[in-house]
Amino acid sequence: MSFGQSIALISFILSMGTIAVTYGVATAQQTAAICNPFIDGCTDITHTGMKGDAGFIFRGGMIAACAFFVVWWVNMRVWLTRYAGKIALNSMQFFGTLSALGLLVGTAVLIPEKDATRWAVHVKGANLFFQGMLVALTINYVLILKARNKGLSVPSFRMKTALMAILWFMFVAFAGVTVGIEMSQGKRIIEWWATLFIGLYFLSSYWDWQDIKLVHTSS
Amino acid sequence: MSNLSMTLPQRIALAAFFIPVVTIGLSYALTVAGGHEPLCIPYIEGCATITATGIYYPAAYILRAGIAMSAVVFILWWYCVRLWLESVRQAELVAWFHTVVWVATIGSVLIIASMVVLGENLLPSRDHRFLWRFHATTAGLFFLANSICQIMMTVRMRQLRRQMNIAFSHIVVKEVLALLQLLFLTVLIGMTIVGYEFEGMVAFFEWWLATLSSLFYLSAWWDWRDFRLTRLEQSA
Repeated sequence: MSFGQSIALISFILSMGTIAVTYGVATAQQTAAICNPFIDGCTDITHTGMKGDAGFIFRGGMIAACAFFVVWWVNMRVWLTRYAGKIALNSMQFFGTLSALGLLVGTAVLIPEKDATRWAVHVKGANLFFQGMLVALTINYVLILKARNKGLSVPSFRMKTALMAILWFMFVAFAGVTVGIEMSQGKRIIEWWATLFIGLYFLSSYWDWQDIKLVHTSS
Repeated sequence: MSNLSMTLPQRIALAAFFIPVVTIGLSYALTVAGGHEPLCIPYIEGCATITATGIYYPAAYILRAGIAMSAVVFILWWYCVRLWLESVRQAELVAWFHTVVWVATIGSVLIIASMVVLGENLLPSRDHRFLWRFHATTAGLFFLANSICQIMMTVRMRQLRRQMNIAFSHIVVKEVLALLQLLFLTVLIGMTIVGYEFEGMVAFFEWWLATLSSLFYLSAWWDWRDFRLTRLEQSA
């Protein structure tokens, strides 16, 4: 497995795995309701990762995942370097990194006591993640589309197209994925699905990055 | 060399030094500003443990985020060093590299676990003995695993110096850092075994080991100028 593939795989498994384990532990410790949050929207992701052991798992896993997201964007830049301009690549990487740092800050301020939590920071960080990620992924998708027309092999192109279409549909139909302190049931459902689709977009590069490798070129 | 031409492994080496050092410095400054710890030179006086800088908010947010992020960078650093050393193509060493990197990776995961439990939720300490023990054990194992892996890797780098084209001065720097870590670890373990303790002992060793291991990560920056992330052309 190449370095690029490892980063794509870890970015997906660590982020989605953390959310899944957090939810499992939260329901086992009765700090979150048992349901199918993708359908019922009984809880949002943030509230599953605040109290008890679930809080520790969520904070550790998501902060670590954010660091991998930053590296994922470095990989994406290297992959597209020969097919895209510097300004476009800089913009893509800037928004991608900014969104990952937004999630990192938003996660780091979560504590078990709801009243003492710095919600303003969390809400801004989480929204920066979703909105910034949509901008970064959109730039990324356009660059991939152009690169593909220039001959770049993109095995995951259909998957990426479907994910982009769904993410934009959710953004337009539901006025974006906006995170708040108390979210409506519909917003909670959207948050779960949007997170999954972003995770799948990260994973999709696993099939594209077989040749993204660390190479020692001895001088 | 400009920033633009810096390779990804070089950036990882830089980040593995700066993120933990800046994080610990900033969280200590905030803790002192909040009046929770005295202002001093912990490297000499051992007046505050690194853990103590991550208890009160907002310093705890910074220590938690910064060290968890650092741990990921450490894992990437070990992954890079493994690929770098494997480029000498000595099949008999592959298992050894994998073992050391796995131990170091597990150590880095342990420091994440150690950091996420920190916060005002640990107060008062007498009511949270399990979490305090968990933190102390995981942090201790991280320091032990990290230092031992760096010492072992130094020995192997010396053996492979010619094949890897590592400059003599670069190896000497790594050896000094590894020897100092070995010295600090031996003294700490020895003192613990004989039951001798001085005031601020844990803090003193903790700050030194954290700084020495960060400097060791940084030392790879000079070795990795020709070690880069690239898109290899696929054969038709």
